[in-house]
Amino acid sequence: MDIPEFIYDIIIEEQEGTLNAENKAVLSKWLNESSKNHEAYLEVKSIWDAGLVLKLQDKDYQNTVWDKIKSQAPSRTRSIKRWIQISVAASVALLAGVYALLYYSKIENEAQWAKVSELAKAEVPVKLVLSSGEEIILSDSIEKYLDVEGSNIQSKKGVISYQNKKENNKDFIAYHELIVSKRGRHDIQLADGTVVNINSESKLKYPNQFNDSIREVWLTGEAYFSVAHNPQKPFIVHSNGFDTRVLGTEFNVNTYNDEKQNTVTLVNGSVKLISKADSKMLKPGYQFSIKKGEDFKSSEINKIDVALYTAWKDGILFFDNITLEQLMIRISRWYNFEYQFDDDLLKEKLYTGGIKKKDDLTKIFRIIEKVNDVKFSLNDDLIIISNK
Amino acid sequence: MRDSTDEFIISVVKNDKSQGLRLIFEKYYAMLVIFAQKLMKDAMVAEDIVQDMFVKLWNLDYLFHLKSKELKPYLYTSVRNAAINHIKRNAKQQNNVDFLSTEAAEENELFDEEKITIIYKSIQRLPERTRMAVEKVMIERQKYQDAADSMDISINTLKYLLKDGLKKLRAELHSVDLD
Repeated sequence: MDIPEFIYDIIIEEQEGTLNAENKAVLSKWLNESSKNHEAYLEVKSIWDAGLVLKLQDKDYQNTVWDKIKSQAPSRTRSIKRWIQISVAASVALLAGVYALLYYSKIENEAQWAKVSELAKAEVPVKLVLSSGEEIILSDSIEKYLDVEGSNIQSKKGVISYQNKKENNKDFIAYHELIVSKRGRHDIQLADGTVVNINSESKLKYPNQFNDSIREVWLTGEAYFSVAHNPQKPFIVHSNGFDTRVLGTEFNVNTYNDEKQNTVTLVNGSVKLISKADSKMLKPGYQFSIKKGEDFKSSEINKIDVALYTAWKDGILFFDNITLEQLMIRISRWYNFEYQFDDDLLKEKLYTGGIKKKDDLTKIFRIIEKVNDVKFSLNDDLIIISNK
Repeated sequence: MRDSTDEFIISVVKNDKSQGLRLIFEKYYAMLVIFAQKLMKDAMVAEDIVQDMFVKLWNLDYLFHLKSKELKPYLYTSVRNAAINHIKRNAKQQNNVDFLSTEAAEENELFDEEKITIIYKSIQRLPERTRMAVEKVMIERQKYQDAADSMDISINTLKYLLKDGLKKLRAELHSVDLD
């Protein structure tokens, strides 16, 4: 269906917003002449709209808009604070003796626990940040195949693996970063075949392909490394305060900021811990530990049970005489919930035992309650830890 | 890259509101603006309305209770209500509002990825000056006068180039069987 020239002219004026009454009348007369005319008109408009869609879908443009939206939104911390204030106020009101509510709240309480347990387990996606700054969200439940920055990346069932293309240009090395948030867990196979199990609230930065002389990665948080053996190319894990240098081995690096100490636990092979001034060798079954805020000289090497420190990668957490405060930090890294100690003295109680990630949050708290003479209760979605 | 499913988006929202909202934004922003634009007849205002809605979503806990199949209707209804409120507040614009177009808009037939891709590729193949005019006006949404100035041509020449572009893009669309 051909559109007469003057109709094109009118549509272009209409889009500009300068259509006068006279031309408006001409347009509606033409539109009413036949349904074909109307169709052709809608088609031209849809082409015009497609232009807008192209603008709106542009990644750079979207990033700009998103930043603008975010800057107008309230910050998360502020809302949590207010929320805790409200929760505290609510608990005070309850203690003041609204006894009639207690009966109903017991029933509600069970439903509330179920809801909290359910939310605690929801799937957490991870974020892959490319060297271009583009962020890609990956999740266990969706398989993804990406072709970016010279690498084929496969994301499947919680494992990301890198395959470099044959024709790859060795001069172009792109640094990618995998960010695993609270409650998340993800595994990655790097370009050299090294497998890294990354724990919750941790980040690993690595090149999409390694150069000819050295393999370097940067870790924040905790990860278990199974390094592909290659005597020609040492593998170095850079972390806050020290580096771990290996040729091929299995070991766990824990550098969480909220832990009292950072550790490297060696399962087999050998590793060398390096700081600016000093270095130490580690043997299998031993653990290097450095207290927060202290320097490398005061670090220690002790014989330990490696299972205690590496079982997390298989979905089990072991605790050997740790304080309740540390326990809650570690559990809340795995599950999604907010908590609050009713009494600071409770934080110092010691706990020994294990939990499975599959376990229900309610079950975990019941076990801790039995062992430790504490009580977990709910105030809305906030978990309160108090004396029994 | 494929957009996330609504089931997935809702599960992310419950976990991490900020990340969830980002996914909603990536999937729905363009569609919602097009929808709002049909009501408002002004792409800029349409974008403002949709952006405001996203800012509001940060404050509301309503999303937490939403089932996945309710997400899309909820977003469209929110945008429509915001648009109507905006119109009420700016009574002057009343004349420009075409409420009839709201009916079909939700279906968004023209928001056909395949068609958008064909148009995008066809734009790349247009003669250079035609392509520039089309990109500046239809994609970047520059004002006619600004676009003409930046190309050092008269506004009438710009309109001529736009007409040329529309004709060629339409012909390209017809040469491809969309079914």
